[in-house]
Amino acid sequence: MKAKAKRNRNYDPFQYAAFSGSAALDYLNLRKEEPTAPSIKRHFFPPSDAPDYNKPDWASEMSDLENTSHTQEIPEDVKEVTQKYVPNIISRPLIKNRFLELQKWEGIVLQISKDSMVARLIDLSEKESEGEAEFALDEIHSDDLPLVKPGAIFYWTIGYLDKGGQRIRASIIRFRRLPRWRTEELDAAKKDAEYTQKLFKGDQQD
Amino acid sequence: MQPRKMQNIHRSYLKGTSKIDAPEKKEIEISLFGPGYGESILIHVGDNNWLLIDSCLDSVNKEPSPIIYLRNIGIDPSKAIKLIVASHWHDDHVRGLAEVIRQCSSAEFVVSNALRSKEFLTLVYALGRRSMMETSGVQEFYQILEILKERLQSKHGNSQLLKHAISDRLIWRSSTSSSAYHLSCDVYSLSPSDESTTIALKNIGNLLPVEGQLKTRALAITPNHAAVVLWIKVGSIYILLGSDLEETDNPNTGWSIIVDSTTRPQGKAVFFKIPHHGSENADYKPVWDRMLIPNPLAGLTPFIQGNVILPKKSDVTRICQRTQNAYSTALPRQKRLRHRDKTVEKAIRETVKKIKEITSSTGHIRLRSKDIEPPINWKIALFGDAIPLHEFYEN
Repeated sequence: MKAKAKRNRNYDPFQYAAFSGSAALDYLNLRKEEPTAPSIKRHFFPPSDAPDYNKPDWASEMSDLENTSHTQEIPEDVKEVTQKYVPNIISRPLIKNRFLELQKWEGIVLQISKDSMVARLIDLSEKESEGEAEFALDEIHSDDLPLVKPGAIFYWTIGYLDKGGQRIRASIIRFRRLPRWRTEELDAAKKDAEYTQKLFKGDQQD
Repeated sequence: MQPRKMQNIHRSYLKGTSKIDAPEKKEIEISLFGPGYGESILIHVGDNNWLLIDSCLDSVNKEPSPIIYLRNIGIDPSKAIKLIVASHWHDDHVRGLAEVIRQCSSAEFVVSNALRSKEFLTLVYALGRRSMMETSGVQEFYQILEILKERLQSKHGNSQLLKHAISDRLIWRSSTSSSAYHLSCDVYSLSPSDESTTIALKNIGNLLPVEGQLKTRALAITPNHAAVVLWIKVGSIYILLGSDLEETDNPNTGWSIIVDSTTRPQGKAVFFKIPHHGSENADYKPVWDRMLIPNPLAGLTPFIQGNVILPKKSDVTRICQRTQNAYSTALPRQKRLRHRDKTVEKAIRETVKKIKEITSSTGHIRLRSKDIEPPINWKIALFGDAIPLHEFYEN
């Protein structure tokens, strides 16, 4: 296994959302000597000669391993069993669902008509330009529709969604769920207003 | 519409204003800046004394346009600007104003009487404290108040930091000076009237958040009863700056009460900053008849937002019938968004019905005159997207 391992010093298996038992074992084993990455077999089905997965109990071994330090010696039999019988369907390095942002705007709703809304957009990616756009209300998620009011703030993001090994181009409009006004906040604003008014009254000649 | 002949117009299509000179010390200058959304007016009243009314951001570097202009012509705004007026609190009139006030510590600051109210201040502290949006009129005022409070507490800068404008009030007068370049200058506010103030307070009160209500951003109120109209006298020249004041059915508000006022300073203005981007509801014929010379110089800043473009074609026609010397700081063109990544472009096309850029290059109308008594020979220069108004819909 060691011989098959690719040398990649930047490899870090913990960047994976879930990595296979064999990958973990490889990692733990090799880490003692040098930080090389394991070779990961990409099979969707276990080998035909694979025994019942309940024997040996590799799952419980994995559970223990997760709580051990990286330098713990792994028994040879455990390594052997795990390398051989862990179903390869989970040995594939699954990457977390990830959103790669290409462009983002902050929007404020200006006008709403029967089936569309007009919004001012501020380019948050470069903060260079402002725009205005008319969106069909169909583009808004039904959960967000009650939030579509003049003055409401939303974010419009365009990017790639990496999900389940696929890359999907996505345009996401998400309305900002600002909290409701609380009495304390309003009281504080009134208090500040009174103080400021008093402060500047003393400065007035009229 | 027939092309008109205009005298002494210098059109510069150069981007920016870096190669232009400062006015002579005894030369009057009126500069109107407008990037398509926002406006600002800068007036030289002699001896390197400048007045600033409202602020807008330069479309390229996002700094206040009047500050950039002054620096480009070699003038230090912190010393030169003596008076700053916020004609009202809408986004398109106050962008960058906090930065201007921060830089100009010796300038007096004037706001509408309606904005001294507890209602408005509560709105500012409720909505302005927390950034809900990149730009917001109340947020700008929040920053301004914080700067002024700091100055007041440290007694730094001008002793009277905040003045309020109301109808027919002298809000600024040039200090007497023995300088050969000194020009007498009086600045009067002609609005808001008492009744306008009351209505404005009621409208602002309606914007105040209530407990349990979802937080949103305060949008502009129309009609804007709090708007400050200014009457400026420099030497024997009168200037009328219309802010965004609209005419209403109520004779105690809007333009009616200004025109009919017996306590306002009398005279006829040679320059008119056309109110509310030339809209029909801000037009009041008696203003042209009783407060302006025939065929006055007039300037406006367009307003391009959503489906609204001001002035409309009918507005342009009407204004051009009243004066042949009207100018606009920007064009009504609707630019597409700048070029982006192909994937982004494709997603944009699939998501929106329409999209456009708001900002174009900041247009600048500049009028200069060495005459301080009629007849006045104006030198007119147009920079950036500024154009004679009759060309507004010709492109």
